[in-house]
Amino acid sequence: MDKNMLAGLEGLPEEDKVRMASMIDHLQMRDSLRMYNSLVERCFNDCVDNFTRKTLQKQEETCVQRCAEKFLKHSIRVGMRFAELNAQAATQD
Amino acid sequence: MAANNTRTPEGIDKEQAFVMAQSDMEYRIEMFNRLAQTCFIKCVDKRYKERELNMGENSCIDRCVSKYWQVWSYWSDAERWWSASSDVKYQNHLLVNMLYLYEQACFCRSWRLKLT
Repeated sequence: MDKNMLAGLEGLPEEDKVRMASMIDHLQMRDSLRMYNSLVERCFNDCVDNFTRKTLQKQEETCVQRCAEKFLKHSIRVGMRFAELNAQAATQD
Repeated sequence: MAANNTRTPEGIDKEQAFVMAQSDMEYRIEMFNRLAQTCFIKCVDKRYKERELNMGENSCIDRCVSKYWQVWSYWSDAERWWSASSDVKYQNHLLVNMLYLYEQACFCRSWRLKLT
């Protein structure tokens, strides 16, 4: 979703290109932070239920690791499909 | 639709075009995030028994994305949204205006082509 955006800026005057590129950068950074926060919240909610101890138990730690990996892989897959559908929609215009 | 980005259509100056492009991108990012969260909830086993997504989850994700996209496309038709929401006090809502302008402005449409 992100790499293609910069490619689409060709043919613009330089100042517009710079402005669009910095807008894209800013949005990407904000989106990464949001994704990180939502991942942490989701994995915490799904994996941690026991508050008899202060530290994470081994089982909870494994669960959180797997949750994060699954969510990231899922995001990548969704991104691929999203890009395909976007490309389809663009050619139909 | 010719994508000539050195010229903006009548009635829209460059500043407005940038604002619309930003709104467009934010709208798409928001849609993507909601899509990813929704399909994760619907398709992925919460017990996290393994690190990889299994075949069933993968197929479910593909279908979920496709269906979500169809629902989104259905409601991103500005005319349909406009008439469906006319009873509700959304007429001045930013989203409706944005969708309406989005359909009208060829600059935005060519941006959409450039951005995908």
